[in-house]
Amino acid sequence: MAVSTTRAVSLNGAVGHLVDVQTDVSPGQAGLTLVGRPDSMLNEAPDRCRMAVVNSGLTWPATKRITVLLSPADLVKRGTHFDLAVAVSVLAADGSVPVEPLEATAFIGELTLDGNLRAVAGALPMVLAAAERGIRRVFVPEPQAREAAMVPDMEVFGMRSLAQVVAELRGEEVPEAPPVAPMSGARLLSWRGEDRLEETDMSDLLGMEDVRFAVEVAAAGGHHLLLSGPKGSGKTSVAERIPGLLPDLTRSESLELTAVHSLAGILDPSAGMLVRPPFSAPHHDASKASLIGGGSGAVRPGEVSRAHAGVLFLDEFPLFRSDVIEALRQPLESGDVTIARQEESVTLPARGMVVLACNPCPCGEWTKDQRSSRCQCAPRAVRDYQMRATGPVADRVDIVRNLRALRRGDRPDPLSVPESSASIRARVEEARLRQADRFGRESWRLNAHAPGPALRERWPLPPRGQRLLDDQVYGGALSRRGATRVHRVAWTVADLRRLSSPGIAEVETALCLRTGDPLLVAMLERVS
Amino acid sequence: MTGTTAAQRHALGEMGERIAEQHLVAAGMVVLDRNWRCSAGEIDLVLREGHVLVVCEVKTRSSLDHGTPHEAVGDAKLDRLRRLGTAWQAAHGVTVPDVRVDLVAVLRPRRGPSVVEHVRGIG
Repeated sequence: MAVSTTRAVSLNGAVGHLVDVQTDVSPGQAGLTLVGRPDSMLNEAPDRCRMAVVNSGLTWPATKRITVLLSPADLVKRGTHFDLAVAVSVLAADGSVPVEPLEATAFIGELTLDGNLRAVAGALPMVLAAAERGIRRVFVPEPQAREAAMVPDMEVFGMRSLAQVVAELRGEEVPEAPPVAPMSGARLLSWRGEDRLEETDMSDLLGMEDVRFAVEVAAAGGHHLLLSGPKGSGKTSVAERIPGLLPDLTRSESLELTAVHSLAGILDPSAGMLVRPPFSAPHHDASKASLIGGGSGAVRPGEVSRAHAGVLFLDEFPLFRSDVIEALRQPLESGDVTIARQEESVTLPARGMVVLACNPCPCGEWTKDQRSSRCQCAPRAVRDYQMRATGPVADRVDIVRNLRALRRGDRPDPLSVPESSASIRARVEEARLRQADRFGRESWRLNAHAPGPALRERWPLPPRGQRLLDDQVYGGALSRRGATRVHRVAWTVADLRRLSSPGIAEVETALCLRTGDPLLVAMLERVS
Repeated sequence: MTGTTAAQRHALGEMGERIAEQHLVAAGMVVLDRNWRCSAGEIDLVLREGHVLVVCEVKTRSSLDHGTPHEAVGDAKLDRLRRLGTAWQAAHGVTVPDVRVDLVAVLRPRRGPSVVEHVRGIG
């Protein structure tokens, strides 16, 4: 047969498009023409394929005119993982491989000149997209087989070489081949990273009653949090313990996060699907591309997406470059991030809790009381810093807490042991279940993600509570956006207190949480 | 490395062209000209098949060590053959609407029979 079609997947962010790789082999001027908007990496595929075919002991139709069409023709295809689909398509068109087994089958993998396969990034989202388009079998490089097998009802062939793929398609005995090296971006250090977080617990934190409460509310409703306080007041310790308060990821969150990590090429396939909320704490030198996503060629997910459904901690956030901070507005507000490129725009999930931390001034020693202040910063530096710390990004935070350094009176009662993460998590899980029940068929599941108009219309505050907010808004103390955020937090407080709807006490608590005012003892009450 | 002299290679080419000519004539084509030269280059064979004028390039190889004969005809060569076809028509005062460029690949190993492949209408 002179024409054959194989299938591959092109990734546009986390969205995969099924691509038909159609090959015609017929007499004419010898050579290969690749049409259908390949990028520069894909343009090199024919050279790799040809040598891989020849060096696998197979016949490349060198005396024929070979035309390879990638369709849909208007979609830009990028990446090196089309090699296997192109090579198999050419072989099938030339009659070296039967056509029937190509039905409902996708091929993913980069080839080397000796005909071996190489690992590629993003196998999971590719296979997910293929499954949605009716693909039932997929050939992937061996290291990606486990990743691909996470997709239900998919027959996965983890292969080491082109010769193995061809033998499998022909129904012959699969020959030996050297194992495929895992992704080139393997960890070189046995760095403990997130394991360290497993050992942290809320019971390590002494005192800080109102911060503990605020963190619990934030975790329960998925609210963004701003922690402000002098150095050493425990901002980082608090932030690191938040993932431990979050329940395991839902199935869809788990798929989304695993797909993002696969795209970023940082997925450890032996660990299986990611089930725990991630924690990411980029340094304030981070570039916009590393935080938001981007890079040249294929779009790499940034830290906001890698912390999807988890916690993104930005310590010293006023020190981040202003364009980076500005770019954070969209994910803070909408839960996804759009990276616009010349010819395409890519949207990735970025619905993590954002925890911002800032000092009162660059040196971290400033206090309101000038006499006790040990601050060495120039007054202007303090002013600039505080301006950035209260800018538009801070306005998109639901809960603000001011931490202070420990004082003599704070020495804790040696008999009282602070509550552990596990028991807080139980309450958080229960509050989240209440929210899921309430929002049932809606597209969001947590209070923090509920749109303002829907809340006001269907889940309003009690009249007294609404009046309290209106007074704040018309008095100029609260922005409209701020009022919506208080509304959301009030519902979360009510969920934690097992109330069917928030009352005035919950609204007052939420308002305090939002404005950063200290909480009254009565507000800290929890259900047992 | 090649183990052949220029004269040997030339002889191989001529032999290939004779084999190709016999093959095409046997296929019912009429030879109009052979080894026609002008300042732009040379056409190995000019033939007629029905109402089509065929500009034919003959490539002869004694082995496939240096690629197939087919691969030796690239874009530049194809362009030149098309221009030569026009030049041939001008030189003979004819205008033919249908012109085709063909390739005859002759593989003539040291031992054993030659293999001839005629590719109609390359490019």
